[in-house]
Amino acid sequence: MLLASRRAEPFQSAYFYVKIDIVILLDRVTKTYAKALQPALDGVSLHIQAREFAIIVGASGAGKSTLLKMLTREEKPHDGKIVVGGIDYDTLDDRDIPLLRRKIGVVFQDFKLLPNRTVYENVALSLEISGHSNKEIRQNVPRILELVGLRGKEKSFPRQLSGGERQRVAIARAMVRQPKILVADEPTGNLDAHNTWEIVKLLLKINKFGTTVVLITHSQEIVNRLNTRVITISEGKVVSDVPHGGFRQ
Amino acid sequence: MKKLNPSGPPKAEIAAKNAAKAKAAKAHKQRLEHDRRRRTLTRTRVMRYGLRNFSRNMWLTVAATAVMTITLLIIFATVVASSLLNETIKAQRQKMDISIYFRAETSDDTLRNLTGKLRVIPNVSSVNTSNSDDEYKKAVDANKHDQAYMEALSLAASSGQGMQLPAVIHVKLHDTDDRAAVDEIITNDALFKEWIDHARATSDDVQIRQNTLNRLADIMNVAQRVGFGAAGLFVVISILIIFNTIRMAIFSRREEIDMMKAIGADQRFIRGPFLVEAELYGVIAALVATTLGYLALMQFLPSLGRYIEVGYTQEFMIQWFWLVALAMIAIGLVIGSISARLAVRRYLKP
Ligand SMILES: Nc1ncnc2c1ncn2[C@@H]1O[C@H](COP(=O)(O)OP(=O)(O)OP(=O)(O)O)[C@@H](O)[C@H]1O
Ligand SMILES: [Mg+2]
Repeated sequence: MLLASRRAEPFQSAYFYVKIDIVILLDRVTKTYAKALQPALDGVSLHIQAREFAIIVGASGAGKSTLLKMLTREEKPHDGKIVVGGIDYDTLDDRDIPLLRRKIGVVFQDFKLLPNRTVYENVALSLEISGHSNKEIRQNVPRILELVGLRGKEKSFPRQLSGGERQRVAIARAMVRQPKILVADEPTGNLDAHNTWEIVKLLLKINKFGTTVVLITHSQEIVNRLNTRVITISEGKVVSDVPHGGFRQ
Repeated sequence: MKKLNPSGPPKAEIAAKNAAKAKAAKAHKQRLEHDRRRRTLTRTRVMRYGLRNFSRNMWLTVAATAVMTITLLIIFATVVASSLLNETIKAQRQKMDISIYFRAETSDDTLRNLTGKLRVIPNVSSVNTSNSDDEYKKAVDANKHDQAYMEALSLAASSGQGMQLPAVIHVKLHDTDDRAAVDEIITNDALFKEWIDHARATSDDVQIRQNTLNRLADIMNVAQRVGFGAAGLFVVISILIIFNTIRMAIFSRREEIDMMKAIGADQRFIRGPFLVEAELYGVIAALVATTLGYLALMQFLPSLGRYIEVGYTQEFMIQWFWLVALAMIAIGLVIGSISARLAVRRYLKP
């Protein structure tokens, strides 16, 4: 789970020696947006281990998406330490952020697919960007589309798909690079109950194959039925972190 | 095969070391090769995205390409026109000579003497002498279809005087502006003073032509400056328009760009397609402008040739067609690339 990076020294962080299995580590991370009165994240500390399936819940505006942006380096914290997959973000050069993002799969509520590209092209794009060969693309894209249950839809455009199918494309795009970590920010927010469950099952399957999954969600049902680790965030703070959590707010 | 000698172990060690070194070198080479292949792959992908974007917003594309075409045509026309004018003036200057007239009875010996004196002046490039009889023949030859002239000639012949035309020495100069030495000899040399035909001014018409040519050259300078000024202005206009086109393209693809960034696209993937797109405007405009430019040349050069010198320019443009086309493409590429780089730097911050 070491991330290749030109400049970042993977073993620099002292935390790394504490527990080699920790893939996501946040230590007293604080983030205040410009002009905001209160911090969006206020001293958040978290460890997530390899192969873990963790759910992050919290009210709207609690800071869940901000947490995700910390991981993808879309935003930088004002204080605190972040180490993901052995990369200490303090030593991460801005130029290496794209490399970092290729190592973390991200899925959003609004899918973020390219509307003028087919399902196949949307997924292939992910590999093209990271410089995989055409042969690898030809081999891996159909395989991952099969895995997410989209065989036969290769030539469809996103607008021709249902919400659930679109989210599968997004998941396929994130997973085709075989990242060690998948973060999904309310992936079922726009889906009905049936599709929500299909997507959750897909995430569980991905987790079973060995990927660490962090699922950000509002859904009480998911939390209650999954019986897995639940981290609750409120007003930028971790207010509870339980191995088998029920929903509480 | 070499025999193992007693000091075997160290040798084996060295061999192992060398093998390891070779292996490392090979791995390094493979890595370099892999990197190179990856870069080429990325480049072709970026090109493909650029091409795709190019065809996505037809109206903007057409407008940007049209402006660029006009700009390139203006540059083309300015260069061709100044080449034509230059050539014409040069030819006129070369044609321009000084004609010195001598009395009809000047003997050939004297003319030879006079010619010799002119020849030694360094600024004189050539001297051409023709005596009274030669001039007469030339006049008859030149006017044999002019009935009135021929009648006047025969009338003069029948009156017993004959036709007395002055002898002429034509002098060509290297530097047509520097007539001092020739003027000096004409006005001060005794032999010249004796034989020169004072009824005929030596230098007036030359001076007039000289003045005309100088005026033409002045006009040409102004015209050239106007041409290059217009070209410069249009270069700026097309940079602005392409800048704006790319800016609008960036805004209309904001979401897409954010998405690409989110899944780890680096600057080459984000900016590259826009650069390719703008460079494509340049290349297409260059192809169109070159075609139009050459069509116009084919259309107008022959008829222009009746008034001005076109030979050299025409030959050059035909002989160096590919060079001209390449130069146009290069200019188009540079304009497109500059505008896109400006837009991208301004609106696609990392
Ligand atoms: N770009 C931004 N600039 C300023 N403030 C922001 C920005 N993004 C988020 N915030 C603020 O930070 C706080 C946390 O926002 P965040 O998006 O992390 O919440 P969230 O938990 O994801 O909420 P939701 O469940 O509605 O998605 C909110 O108060 C929000 O208004
Ligand atoms: Mg959110």
